[in-house]
Amino acid sequence: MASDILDVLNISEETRVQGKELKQQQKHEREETVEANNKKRKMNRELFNLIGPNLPPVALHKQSVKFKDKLSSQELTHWSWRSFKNGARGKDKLVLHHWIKSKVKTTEEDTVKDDDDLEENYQFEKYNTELDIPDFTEEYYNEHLKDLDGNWSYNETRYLFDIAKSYDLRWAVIGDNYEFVKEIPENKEEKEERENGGSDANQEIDKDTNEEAIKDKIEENDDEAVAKPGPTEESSLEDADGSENENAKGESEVAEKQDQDDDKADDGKENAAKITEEVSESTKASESPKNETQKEASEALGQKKDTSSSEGRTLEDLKDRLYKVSAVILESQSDAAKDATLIRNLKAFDKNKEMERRSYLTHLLERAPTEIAEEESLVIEARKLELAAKKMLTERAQLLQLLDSPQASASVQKYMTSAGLTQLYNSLMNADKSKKRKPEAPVAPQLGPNALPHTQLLQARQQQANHGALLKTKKKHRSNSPTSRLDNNGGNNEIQELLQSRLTPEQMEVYGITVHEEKIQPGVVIRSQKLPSFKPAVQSKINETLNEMGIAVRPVMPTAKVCSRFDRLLRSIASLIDLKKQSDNLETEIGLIKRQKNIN
Amino acid sequence: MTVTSQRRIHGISISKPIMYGNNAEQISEANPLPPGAPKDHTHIWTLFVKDATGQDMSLYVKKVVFKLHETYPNSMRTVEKPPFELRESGWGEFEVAIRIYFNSVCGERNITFYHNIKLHPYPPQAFNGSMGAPVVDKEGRVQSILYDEIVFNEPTEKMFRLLTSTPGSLLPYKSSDTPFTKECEREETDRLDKALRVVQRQLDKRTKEFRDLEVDRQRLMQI
Repeated sequence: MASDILDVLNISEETRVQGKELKQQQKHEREETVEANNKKRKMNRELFNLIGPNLPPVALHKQSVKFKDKLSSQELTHWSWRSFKNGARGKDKLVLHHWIKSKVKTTEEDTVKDDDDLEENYQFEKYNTELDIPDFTEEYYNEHLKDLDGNWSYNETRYLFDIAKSYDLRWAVIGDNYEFVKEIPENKEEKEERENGGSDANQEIDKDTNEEAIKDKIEENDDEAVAKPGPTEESSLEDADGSENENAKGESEVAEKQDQDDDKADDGKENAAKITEEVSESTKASESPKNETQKEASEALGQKKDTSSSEGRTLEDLKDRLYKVSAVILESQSDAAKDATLIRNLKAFDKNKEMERRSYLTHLLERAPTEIAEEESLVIEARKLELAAKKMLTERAQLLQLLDSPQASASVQKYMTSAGLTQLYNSLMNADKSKKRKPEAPVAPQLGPNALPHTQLLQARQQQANHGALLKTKKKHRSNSPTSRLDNNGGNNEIQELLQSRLTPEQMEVYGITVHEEKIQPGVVIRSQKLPSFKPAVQSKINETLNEMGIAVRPVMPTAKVCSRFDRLLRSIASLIDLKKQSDNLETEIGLIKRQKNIN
Repeated sequence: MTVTSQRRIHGISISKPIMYGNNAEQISEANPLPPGAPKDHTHIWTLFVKDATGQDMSLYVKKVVFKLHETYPNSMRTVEKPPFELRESGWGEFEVAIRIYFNSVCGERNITFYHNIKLHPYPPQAFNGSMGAPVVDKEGRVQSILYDEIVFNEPTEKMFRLLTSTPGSLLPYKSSDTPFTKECEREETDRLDKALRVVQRQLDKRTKEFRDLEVDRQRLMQI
């Protein structure tokens, strides 16, 4: 490429060679760098070729990636291999090891020595939090909680609290894992109880014996019909609770045997076997029937159907039980006041409502696609109606407001005098102030010559005469007329002067000049095109009305005067049409209300 | 174009009355078909835009463009000198777009309006006595003339100077040359005022009815 350029510029080979010789040494070095650069930046090769033999006097700066080379200056971080015990693991004495940063520089021997040091505080141990779920003893249960819900036994409650604790009250998990098999844990309890000697007999005995007496009859039947384990199960539970306490040691052995059998046997058989045991117990017990206990027993029997297995307990049942028991426990504690809100919240749990909610949600989840579509369309429809109603109300309110506002056609006669004008000015100024907006350089109105008092008028005339003489505009005479808005423009040419000098209304008309107080869109317009337009439906009605009154849809002579009147007429007709529509709406609405309330 | 010329004068507007429309004459021996025109043309018409007071529009108007029906050769006709009018022959009525371009020194944008060329006199009731209703003038020509006003809102200073160089916005009070006079304007304002009063009366009546209904409704709602 460089040679091409040289050819173009008629630089001969010889001169080039000379140049080469002179810069041989230099070039050699350059070539190396160029090569290096070529490797790095292929894109620029064309550019380097352009340089040719006329190498630039300044060495091209070679940029290369710089690495941090001061790494060694920093002190190395020391890590040491330490053993630790995780307190969250509970009682197992597993010792684990990990690398941790150690601040002190340690030699290898040290680390070996450190190995033996047990780190006491494992930093992540603190995250193993436990929920504070109230706890209870069996004694306490029998005393306070037993009557809460006959449907629940101590063992199941215990189980519920344990599972709640172990799963940290994650109800979905609890619900999935809740598998309370009554007999097995119960029997274990029983065993324990018996080993302890069943010393804690209490007032429940009376009741239990009664229950047993009632159940005897039922169970006798069940004994024969082993196929029906359900109904008896609950009662057996009830019995177990009570009977544990009163059981004599001698009997417990029998029971144990029975239990062992039960473990292997089917549920039904278990129950049956159990019942026989209970029956034998109950026969020995004293008999003193009470109405209360009878009721309780029958209740228990009534409910047994859904509670006969753990499957029967819904999540709501579990929650209800846990919350109720917790509430009772917390209430009985000495510092109940502290947990007042908690207790209130616990008591606020309404099982039925929750069930309802769940069934509702289930239903919602199980809707068919067609149902969903239908519902959505209904919702949309309802929203539309709502919007329409809202719109109608706002329209009506607007209309009422419009009707309440003073008519624009009110006479301006009262502002024609100086006093009236000053009053208007003051009131506008006040309005301005109250709007908090800083008025832009307000200029007091210069009153027309006719409005001026005689003395002032004379002065003004004189001034004006002088003024006019000085100005020497190419225009004809001009007299005073308010064009105060124009004053602040501060122009220095004749137009400003012309405007500052005054025009009479007649002259203004001759020149077709009008002064606007409000802001107008600059530009050229055709007057008749600026007449208001309406929605097609409204427009056609307006035209109809105009025709009825013998007025053309478009003014014949759209002058300023005609157009302002025409504008007002159109707007009046439009509001009349709107009013008609609203009145009709209102009439239908009234009719509707009347029909709803059965008036007439 | 200096900077000062582009400065606008706030708070004022200047209006210029204009007339636009067409007159049309049937082709006859006295009024023969122009050479080169298609044989089926039945009328010769003249389309025009002019000042309603008979002044020279060219002071501020640079050119007028008439957009004819597409079937005409060179359907965009530009007239750059007064009188701003266009003579053509044809057989049908159609809508013409008229665009006025202002002197470029004034920095105003052009304006467009429309006119329906009328060739035949219609019975006046078809037009409800307005809007360029075609009338037959003394010479037997069909005329359809509309009045309008060009409003220069906040004109530039240059434009202002041009527009006020001659006093020329005042319509004659009475004139035999033009139908658009002060008198005509006053008649129209009177007519409109009357209509306004009628509408206002109806509005008041309706308002009262409406209020009564509203009260009625409120009462019913509370029952």
